[in-house]
Amino acid sequence: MKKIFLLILSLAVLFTLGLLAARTTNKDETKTSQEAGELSPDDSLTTIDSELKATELTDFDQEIQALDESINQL
Amino acid sequence: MKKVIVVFLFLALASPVLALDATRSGLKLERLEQRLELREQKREEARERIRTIRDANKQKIAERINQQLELIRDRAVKHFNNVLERLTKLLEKIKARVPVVDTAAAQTAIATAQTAVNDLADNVYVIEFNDESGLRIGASTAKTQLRADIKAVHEKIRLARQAVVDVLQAAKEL
Repeated sequence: MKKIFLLILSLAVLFTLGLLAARTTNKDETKTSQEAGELSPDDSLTTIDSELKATELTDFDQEIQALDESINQL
Repeated sequence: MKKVIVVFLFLALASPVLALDATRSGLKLERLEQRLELREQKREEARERIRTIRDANKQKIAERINQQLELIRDRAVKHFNNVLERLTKLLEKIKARVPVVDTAAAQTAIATAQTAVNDLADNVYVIEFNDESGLRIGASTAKTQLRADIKAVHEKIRLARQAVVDVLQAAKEL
């Protein structure tokens, strides 16, 4: 009886720990991806302004147009 | 006996919360798996169609074009996700600096752009054709579609960026 009780208790604890670990991993992954953004810890509006201006946005037009060379061979 | 009751009580109380959490994660995973499965299915169908091309050279070129289309799409999705992540963090910084500033419009714009990026990620761009004479048109159509979709997402992200710029401007004036 004691062994069954201990087994059930261990399984319950393991299950709970597993769920908590999964949540923590997700948070860590989010943290890692945020760190990859490489923004300055300085939160002055001037710094934010520079960082916003430095945010490049590509439209991939050149890469897409480069496909024409292959398409014309078909 | 008392100990057994305690354990069962613990399980009974914890299980709804754990079950709900598990269900939500499970549904998300299921949807992701379904989307990936559908994408892979379409890719496989495209590969099968290309194998029917008798001209070996054209077969190679068609394969290469399909791969390039996918590569460009993946790079675009990655780039757009990085930009949105950066905009989100910048918005959070502005809010932390000036808590009273209204960020709702910018948040909505970012969310709209994110949905568009997710849709782009789910799309499959491959050459559709019935016979070898339709290869060039099929490739051109796929290219045009990818370009149009990327352009549409690009515009939404541009608007999201502008919304963050507007928030910054408002923050400076406060």
